[in-house]
Amino acid sequence: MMTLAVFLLLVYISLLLESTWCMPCSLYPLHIDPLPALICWLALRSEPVPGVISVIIAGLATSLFSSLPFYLFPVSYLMAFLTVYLVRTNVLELPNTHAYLMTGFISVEILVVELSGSGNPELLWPWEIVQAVLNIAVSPLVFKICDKSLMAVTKISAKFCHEK
Amino acid sequence: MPHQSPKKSKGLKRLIAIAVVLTMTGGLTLAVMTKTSIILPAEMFLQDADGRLQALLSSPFLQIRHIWESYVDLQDVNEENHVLKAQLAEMENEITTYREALIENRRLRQLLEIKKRAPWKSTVAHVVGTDIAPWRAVITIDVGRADGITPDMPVLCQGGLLGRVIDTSMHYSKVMLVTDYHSRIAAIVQRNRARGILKGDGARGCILDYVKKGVDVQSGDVIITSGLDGIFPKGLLIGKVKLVGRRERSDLFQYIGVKPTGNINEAEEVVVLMRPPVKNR
Repeated sequence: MMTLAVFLLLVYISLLLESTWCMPCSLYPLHIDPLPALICWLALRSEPVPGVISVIIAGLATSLFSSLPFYLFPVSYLMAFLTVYLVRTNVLELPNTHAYLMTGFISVEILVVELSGSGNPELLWPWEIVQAVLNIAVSPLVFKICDKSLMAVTKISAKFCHEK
Repeated sequence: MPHQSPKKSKGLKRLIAIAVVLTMTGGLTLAVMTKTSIILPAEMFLQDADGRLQALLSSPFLQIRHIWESYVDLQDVNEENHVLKAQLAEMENEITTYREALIENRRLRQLLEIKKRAPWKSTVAHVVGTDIAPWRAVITIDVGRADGITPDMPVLCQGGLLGRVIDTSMHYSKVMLVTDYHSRIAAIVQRNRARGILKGDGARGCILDYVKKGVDVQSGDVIITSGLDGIFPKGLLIGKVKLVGRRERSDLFQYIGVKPTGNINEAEEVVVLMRPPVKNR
């Protein structure tokens, strides 16, 4: 439950940051996008059903910040989540570096759905690859932030429960 | 020889000692007063020795005193430095605020000019965000249905046309910019009235499409709205032709690259033209 709460909170914060602060600093059409890394992190740590519900909520929240059709984000995020979850269930232990690479793979997956679905498939090559590499580069930091946030939230809630 | 008593001899010795002391004191006083040649070197030697000793002994104390005074001074300077730094930061902040106000004033004056010249009633809005998908040139502005905004209303910025409203909520609206890949605007070349459709081309600007090959279009020609699309009023400035290129021989139309004249990527305030109701149009 904590994982899901942390995931949704970080998704919302990153959406706010991306839609405001990234205005002047995005290198068109590339941008720093922590969402694929967040989805990868969630898929590696959560149970399937709550995870699926969370990514759908995250997708719907994202569509509020975009003019793309509202179903594109939930569909793409769901596919990405299931991909990582599938790998996770079939691999005994996924090292961090592989998790970062998985972020790259699901970035491609997400971009294929979003660019094709929004009628801009001409932007797929080579931008999606470059964006995927950028997302891989960002993922260690995102994973670290997620883990630290989860740890902090768990501590706070434990303290709160203890006091109660 | 008569034997002297010990009392008498003691008194004599005392007398001699007093005499010697007096003589020496008197002699020395006299010597110092007259600066005789015998006493000077000795005095100088002693004075030098004393001076050296004094210097040797006083130097650590002087050092410590110097350090202490420096420390006290530094404490004062440090405090002063903090105060001055705080004042400087405050001043810088104030200057930035004034500068920002000045720039905003200029922008708003320009917007006021746009409002005056606008064919329809208009309202000013602030840009509050951008689309999460970076390939979509869509921005969010802080006016919505509550302010009378409806989809397809034209939006202007300093320098020309910015785009049109595509979606509205109660207090916010999404505006698709002229550079968006999905943007299509009926446009004409102002000089020769050649018609075309202005398509968004992302970061490259726009393309004026469907202009026949024989039509004379030159770099620098002004592109304005034709009003034929029923969305934008006629005569709004869109941009200038930056490139007229050749396409394949089989292609019927020219490639005309257009650079929007509006400050599309830097727009902070925009003007939304409020379309009048159909009966008044």
